[in-house]
Amino acid sequence: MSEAALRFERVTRTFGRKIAVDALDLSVERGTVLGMIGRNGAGKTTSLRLAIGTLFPDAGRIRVLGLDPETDAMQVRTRVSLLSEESHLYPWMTVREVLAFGAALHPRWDPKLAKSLVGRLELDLGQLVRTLSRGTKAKVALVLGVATRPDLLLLDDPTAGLDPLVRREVLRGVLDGVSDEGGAVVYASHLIHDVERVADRVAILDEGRLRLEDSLERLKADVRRVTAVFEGDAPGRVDIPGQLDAVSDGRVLHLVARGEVAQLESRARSLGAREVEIEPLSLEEILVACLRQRVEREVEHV
Amino acid sequence: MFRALWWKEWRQLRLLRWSGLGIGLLLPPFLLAVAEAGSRGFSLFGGISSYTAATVVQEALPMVMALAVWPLLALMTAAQAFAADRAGGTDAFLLQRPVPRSRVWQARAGAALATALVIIAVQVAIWWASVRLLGDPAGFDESAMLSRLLVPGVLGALIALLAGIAAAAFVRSPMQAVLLGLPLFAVPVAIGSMLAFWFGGFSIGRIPLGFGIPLFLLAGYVVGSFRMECRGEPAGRGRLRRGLVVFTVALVAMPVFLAATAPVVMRWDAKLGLGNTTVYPAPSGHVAFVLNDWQRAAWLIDTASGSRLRFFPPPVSEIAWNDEGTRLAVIHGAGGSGRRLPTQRIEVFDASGSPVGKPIRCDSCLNWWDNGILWAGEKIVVTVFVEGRTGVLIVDPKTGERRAVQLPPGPSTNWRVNKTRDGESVFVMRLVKPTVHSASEPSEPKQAVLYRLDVETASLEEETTVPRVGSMFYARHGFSPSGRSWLRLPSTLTDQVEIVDLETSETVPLPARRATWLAGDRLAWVEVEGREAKLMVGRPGDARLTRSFHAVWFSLDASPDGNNLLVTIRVPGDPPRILRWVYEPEADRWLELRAPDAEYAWEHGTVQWAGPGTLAFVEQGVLALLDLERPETFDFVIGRPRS
Repeated sequence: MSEAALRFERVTRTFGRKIAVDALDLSVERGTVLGMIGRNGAGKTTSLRLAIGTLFPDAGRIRVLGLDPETDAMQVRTRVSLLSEESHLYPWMTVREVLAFGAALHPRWDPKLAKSLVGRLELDLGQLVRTLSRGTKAKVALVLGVATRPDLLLLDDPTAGLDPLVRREVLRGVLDGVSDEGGAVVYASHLIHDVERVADRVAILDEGRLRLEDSLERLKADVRRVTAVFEGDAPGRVDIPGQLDAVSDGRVLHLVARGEVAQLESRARSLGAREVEIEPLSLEEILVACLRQRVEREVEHV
Repeated sequence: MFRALWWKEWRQLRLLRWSGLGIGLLLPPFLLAVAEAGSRGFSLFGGISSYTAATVVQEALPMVMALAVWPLLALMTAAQAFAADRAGGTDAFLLQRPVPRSRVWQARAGAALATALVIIAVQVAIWWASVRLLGDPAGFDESAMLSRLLVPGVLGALIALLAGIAAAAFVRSPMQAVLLGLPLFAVPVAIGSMLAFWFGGFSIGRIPLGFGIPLFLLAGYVVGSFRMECRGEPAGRGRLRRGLVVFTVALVAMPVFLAATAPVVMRWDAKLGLGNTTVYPAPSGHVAFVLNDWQRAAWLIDTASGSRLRFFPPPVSEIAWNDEGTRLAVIHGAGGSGRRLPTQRIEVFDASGSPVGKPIRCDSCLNWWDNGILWAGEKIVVTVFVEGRTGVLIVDPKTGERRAVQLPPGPSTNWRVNKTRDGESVFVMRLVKPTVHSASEPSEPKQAVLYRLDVETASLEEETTVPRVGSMFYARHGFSPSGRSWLRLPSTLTDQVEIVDLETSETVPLPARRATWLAGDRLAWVEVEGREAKLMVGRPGDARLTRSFHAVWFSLDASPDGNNLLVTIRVPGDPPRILRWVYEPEADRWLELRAPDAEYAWEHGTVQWAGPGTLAFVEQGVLALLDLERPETFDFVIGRPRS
């Protein structure tokens, strides 16, 4: 059995008193695209920086393509690329210079792939980086990241703030360049629709912890909203297997839970519901359901 | 990969290179404008009466470049090279790629150093062109000026560069790195300067090693920066701790190294300079104080065993033994560790080298070539220089109490103390009509008024006048053993020896240029007739010829008790030879001395009395004792003669 592209085993990382990643277990198989979603500060960026080895974990174990990013840093960075929202490009270089510089630093640089990406993304090689738009910088960063033919590509919201057309273009470039060749992609983003479009699997992070992780299809198929109507007031607190969220509103109880339709209906009726309605959820609704309890806790606290 | 990194760092510093060129071009007109403004009274630093363009470009310009512009630009270069990526948010570009951080560090350091050197070279070229255009190249030694300024300028730039590298590891922006770099630049320079001053004796051949001690700190800058930037988590956690650990180690290493090496280096340096040495035998004959006249370091040695009892780090100004040879007073400007003291002090030791009592502060003790300090019984009499005048103090070493001697009014500023060999009479000598600086000049004829000092009452009584006092360099040999006569040694090449009777003021000339007192107020002197030199012993008019030599050079030195005479001659020949004897006048006995290492050592070394029956042989790096009871054997106290 081949080693997973990325494996976190109870990984914890703190910044002072703030726990950025809390006993995180995560695994990304080769040839898959993992969408990593969560609120700001959920631990997405920290996880990716841990994966490429610019941060070291306080506890736990990380393996990237079977390597330890702390001790095998050069090998990991040879085989892994990280594209982030901040492109980190030198503003005084031209596009040609920055690509040449990136090529000189990387033993796996593929000039043909770089040339084809430059052509496809319509980059002007003579332009200074400081004069480029944010979208064009993202394209340059994409060429730099993908032309090294990474076995694992880490995307930290590289398309945030870009218009939909550019986003689509960049994402297409990513998928064509990496996942089609058996590489793995971890795509951390707020843009749930983008994630939904490209991800095979989805991991929802909150407060540095993994709330939910599964294949996108199964997640969307298994997680459902249950609306149960009671004779009298709906129960204030319920706890059924697979429950992700529960909100009572007079005689109505809104539940979000994983399970088969019949299973969920039977569980709702066992609580005393007279009428039960079950419907599928979008990824965004699943994310909101996962995060609502904490948000409400925070609001109550405030 | 390194080439690409170098290219990137080199390109990133191009603005600074252009700035260096711009500043170099603007400096000459700027300094000329400042000079012009100063000449018109518009200056913050005080006006200047006149200036010439040649002076400005030939002297002020290179000085400003070397001492201010180069270090500042080097600091800015390092700050830019090492902090710019962090400030611009582009550091992740390299951190996320398979590039060893050590290579990045090396590329940055190399590019920063190259940039600093290019700036220096360009500015030197601009200065050279300015001298051609505005200066007076015909009457100006450019290479001398350049060599004078290049060393401190490049050294300063290098220190600033390292300070900038260290500072950039701690902060996030080049500007912060420059601000932090300034104190980091100043600290090693200040430490080096202070150590060079405080530990003046911590030197080799007059090169103060104190300047070298901050190398530890500079190495700490390099290692600290490297460990902060290239080790541990790339994002930077723990970097501050790593850097502080290295800097702390470097800071601690400096005093530790100094403490460990300074005593060794001081002794070694003092040993190297042993060729220029004066030996002060104690009257007891058991110990001798060996003062290196060049470094002003000294040893107290046991003449019987040849062991070194104590080392005195420089500067030792002057010393005096008491009449019994049991106490030694040293005017010393350094503490036990060798640290130079802000003011001199008088330290008293017993014959074994152990301190007796507390040191006595003596802010302005004077060194008058063996005439500044002496013992009068239990008290110490010392000359001092206060408010532009020489004074005389009587110090009680037990209590530290000081009493000033009331000196007669007069224009003279030259007072010295002296005493007869029997220790009975202490005199304060006033040199008439000399100036402070010229008083010690052997060529200046001068008169000395002798005042007998009553140590108990600190009062003076005028005794007599020595009409022509002669060379003060030999003043401690002036009094005859009884104190009745004064031996005036010639201070000019054509002059001759005179004996002055201090009771009658009668002067008796001797047809000699060399003479020395022997026991019983007898004299030994050399009369030269043609190529023949006759050694005479006795009193003027009642002397006998002891031996004649064919010599071109003669030296006489009486033993401390006056019973023996060390005779040194230089015999003409190819090569000329030096011969030495100890002559015992009472027994009319001659003892020829053999050099410790054939002829070579006699040629290079000197021999002095270290006790009544002991001679000290000193040459560079060597001190040996020769017991007259065993004249064939040298006991080497320090070093060995070179073969």
